Amino acid sequence: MSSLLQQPWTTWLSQIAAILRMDLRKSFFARRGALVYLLALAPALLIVLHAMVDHHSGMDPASHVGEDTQIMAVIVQVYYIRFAVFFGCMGIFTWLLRGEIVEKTLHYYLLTPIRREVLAAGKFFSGAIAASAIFGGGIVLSFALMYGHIGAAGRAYVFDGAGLSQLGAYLLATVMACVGYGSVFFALSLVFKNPIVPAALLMGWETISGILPSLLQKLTITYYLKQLTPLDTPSTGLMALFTVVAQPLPKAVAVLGLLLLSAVVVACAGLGMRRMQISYSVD
Amino acid sequence: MAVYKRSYAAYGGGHTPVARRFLVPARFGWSQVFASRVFTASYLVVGVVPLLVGALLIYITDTPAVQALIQARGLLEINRMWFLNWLQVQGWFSLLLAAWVGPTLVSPDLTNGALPLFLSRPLSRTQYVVGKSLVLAGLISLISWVPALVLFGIQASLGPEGWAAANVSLIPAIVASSLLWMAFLCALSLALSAWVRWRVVATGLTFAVFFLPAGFGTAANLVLRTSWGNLLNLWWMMVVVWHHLFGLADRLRNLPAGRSSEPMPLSAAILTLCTATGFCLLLLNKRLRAKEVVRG
Repeated sequence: MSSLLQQPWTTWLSQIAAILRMDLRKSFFARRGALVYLLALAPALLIVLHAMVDHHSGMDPASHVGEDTQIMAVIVQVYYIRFAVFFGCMGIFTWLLRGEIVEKTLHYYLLTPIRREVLAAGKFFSGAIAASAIFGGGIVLSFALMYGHIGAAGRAYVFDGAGLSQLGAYLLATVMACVGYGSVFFALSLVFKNPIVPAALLMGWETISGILPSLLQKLTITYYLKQLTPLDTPSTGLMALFTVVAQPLPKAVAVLGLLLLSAVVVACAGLGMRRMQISYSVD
Repeated sequence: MAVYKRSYAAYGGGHTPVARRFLVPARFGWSQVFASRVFTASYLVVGVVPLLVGALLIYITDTPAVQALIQARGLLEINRMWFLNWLQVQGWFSLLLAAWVGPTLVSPDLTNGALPLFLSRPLSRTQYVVGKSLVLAGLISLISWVPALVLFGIQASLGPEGWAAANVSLIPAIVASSLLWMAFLCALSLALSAWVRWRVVATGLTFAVFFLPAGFGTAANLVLRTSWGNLLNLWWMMVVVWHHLFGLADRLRNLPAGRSSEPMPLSAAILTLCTATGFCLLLLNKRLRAKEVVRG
């Protein structure tokens, strides 16, 4: 314990902060990041169209708070967590290392007097912050538009009803999805020259999460994320037939489990980075 | 002999016949692809395992003694639906293959400035594209329609008398379905490979083209209370076409596909796929030029 305390934590933290400053700028303002923004903000466009359709249909807005709540749940759980965050994290986190390699800039980082594990941690945190901010922002915007167009009934649902707690749960699930998927993509980008193919296999694994035996379900990120979402979206079709209902977990345990899983994966990535050799010619 | 006395002489070797020139880039492409042991092993797995599983299922279904032994009598039926499902599984593996191999086909030639060298030889742009497509098409064929026809043959020999005659229309359905999927994947992979310099990004985009619009389409179905969002789901469009080719269009009514109970019209599916393929070919045509622009 004493040797752990004797480590130069202040130096490491300042080094992580320096990496964050550089990488966050790249993640937020790079031109290629436009696709991630598009992913995060696309549902907002749909909700605007939905509001326009509702406005013209002349329906009583208060009558469809329940339906809109269900729609919001599906948007978050199906669109955001299953597709947008997955692919967004694939783009952001694999680019943290692979991007530096294909742009032939990773050696600048490796030439600095910084431990490889610290570099890995800094890179991972920058990805997690960027992904959480972008997708969290997208969800907040979608949520505001969804209930904003209903008027007084929507405001009442958000501020006096279950709305804010649902938003909090959606944001927590999104942040945890970014951390969970991000850690796996970050590690994959270190192991594979082209991490996208294993990432696609991971997507297949996550998709069939619901039909896996309950023990195997605990090895998927989807299992922990399901525990964090406030409303259940039942699976349909063939998947519904084979769905195995796993034992539910308390939210705190789900968050802790996912954080632990991510920490282990990032730690392994950090250790792997110690042995990392760059060969720009083969990428 | 002094160097200045050497003079260039015309190539005196044999020429590949014009009709077979597209096979040259294809041949080199295959040798490059199979240079990777990881790829070769993975390809064997996705090619052989589903074939063995399919053959085993056919054997169990057509052998009452084995069914009695494993107590699975009447559990399975080898019919059009079975072949369609088998082909759909292989369709996903084909996508995986396209994402893996596709980005390596054209991109290195463009980034290394090799395209003008290819096209300065007696090889047309069409032959170049056909040759490169053939790399992927050959790989996909060997895991889709070829083993499907082998399974058809096994079922024809083991199945009840008259099964083959009653289901002979499955043969063109299997071949046509696979060729359509193959053509679309080749066009998409080559276009992405031509436009995206980095392999990682091109591979990611190949998957993103299928999954992200599909996810957005699902959200659109829900929010706008429609089923036309499925037009963005290219895989689903292909599935619609396949169902019609297999004579199983009625089954589309039972599959969840948005708010409407009416299945997607075949014409809409074909139009969507043609538009997407045409757009990919347009992109490819724009990028594949026998010239190099050097800026700066």
